Amino acid sequence: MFGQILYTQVKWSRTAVAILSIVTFATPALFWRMVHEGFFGQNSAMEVMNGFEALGPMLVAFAVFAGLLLVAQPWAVDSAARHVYPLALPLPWRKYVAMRFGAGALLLVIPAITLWLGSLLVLALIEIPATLRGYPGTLALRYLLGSLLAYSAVFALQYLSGRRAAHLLLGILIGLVVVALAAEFSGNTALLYSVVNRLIHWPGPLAVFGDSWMLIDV
Amino acid sequence: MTDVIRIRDLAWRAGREFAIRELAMTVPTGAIYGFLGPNGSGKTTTIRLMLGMLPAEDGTIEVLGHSVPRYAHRALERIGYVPERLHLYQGLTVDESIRFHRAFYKDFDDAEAERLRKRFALREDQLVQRLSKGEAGKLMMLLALSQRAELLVLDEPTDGLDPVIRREVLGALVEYVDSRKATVFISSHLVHEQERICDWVGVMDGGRLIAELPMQEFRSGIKRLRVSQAPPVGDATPFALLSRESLNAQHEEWVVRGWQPEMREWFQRAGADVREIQDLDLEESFVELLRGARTPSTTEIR
Repeated sequence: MFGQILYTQVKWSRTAVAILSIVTFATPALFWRMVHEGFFGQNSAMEVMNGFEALGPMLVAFAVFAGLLLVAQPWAVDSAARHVYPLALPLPWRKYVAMRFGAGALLLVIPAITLWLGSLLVLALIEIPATLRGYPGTLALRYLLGSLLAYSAVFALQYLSGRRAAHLLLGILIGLVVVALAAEFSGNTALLYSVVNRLIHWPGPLAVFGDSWMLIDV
Repeated sequence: MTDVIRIRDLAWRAGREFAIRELAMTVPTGAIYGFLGPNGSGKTTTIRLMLGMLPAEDGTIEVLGHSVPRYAHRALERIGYVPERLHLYQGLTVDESIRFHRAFYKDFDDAEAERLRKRFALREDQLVQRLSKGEAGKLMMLLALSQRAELLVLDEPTDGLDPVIRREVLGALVEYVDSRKATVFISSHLVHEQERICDWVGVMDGGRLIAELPMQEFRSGIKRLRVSQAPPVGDATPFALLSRESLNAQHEEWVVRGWQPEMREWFQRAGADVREIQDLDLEESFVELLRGARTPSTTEIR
């Protein structure tokens, strides 16, 4: 059963996953190429650090996009037929949802692997000052966790019933508005920063996005 | 187990517009049960409730001995379902659709699927999204029949198909029922089609099951009478009056259900006479049943 669910996921998402994989493979090298004239030559530690500074936020964006995309495609196919086919299959809905989740999550591994390979390639091509180290595995793992987090959050919202998902979204929105209004009226923006910090730093739910997404670091 | 489907006191509501109320239905094992009703009467909703796709507000549903929706997945292992609209994944080919479907049914018959694919002239590499309506209907029927299901639930399976394809699809269905002795629950508003193949009939209107009876009774038990000196109708009538219409000062036309020849005596005792008795065909019977159910003065037929 899972094999067939995975097969459909591959059919729907293969183009997107292929493009994402090429992009994550090429991004570290292209990034370095854009900042510098070429791959070879001596670079100071500061030059190398600055060169890769903006790579992290870009990869965060790719990770979130990948997560959203892999939920949107199967959901669009199922909802076009009002979910009649999965509901008519002889398995509990939660089992179908678990398999659908697993199939999408498995495909998210591919762009993470190509990111790792692309990062290894760049590290092989450039000379890193002795004070710095490359973290291709950590970066790829962060990318994978980031895309899985985005995927899981959107998947949970989509595959909950519409009303519950709407209530959940409304609750989150109201919470954010209340915090923003409280910060505005009290003049105490520390409250807003505190909320954001709690979200993006460990043990906050979005901690993976708050970590350092550096390919080369001290 | 003598009944494949047992529904009691079923209630479901969609806003203020539509509701299913106190629905009770029984489909005996081995029956070919025609589920008739005009468009929008609640046939598809009832089927979705029956298969656990919609949660009921009240009542009990038992299909193949399993309580639905809780154990719907167990019942679905033994049910072949053809919905009113194409539900298969559009991006797959015919062959991929068969392989996908097969993975979920342990009794899936590969040889039968291949035989039906050839019989229905479906190419393996045809994309589902490029299938015509008739081809899509044939593919859905192929999948349902290849499951070796004990119960087939078919929601308007021939609606919109041309006569040639309709005959092919119904032919395959009749063959299947003959060979496997399966129970069939077939929803349609095509009354004549049901008349040819069904041995039980349930009639749905406005979210209510207004009649459930053997086809033979449905076919022969509804009559149009020409009555002279028509008497008032009380509780003691031996038949169900579906409608009455005045023709002139002396004559009325009555449509009754459950008619037997000896019931003429009831009219004679009341000082009236039955001048003419007409048989109704199935479509006329169906229309009269609906008319009777929608007229407040007539009794509900069960």
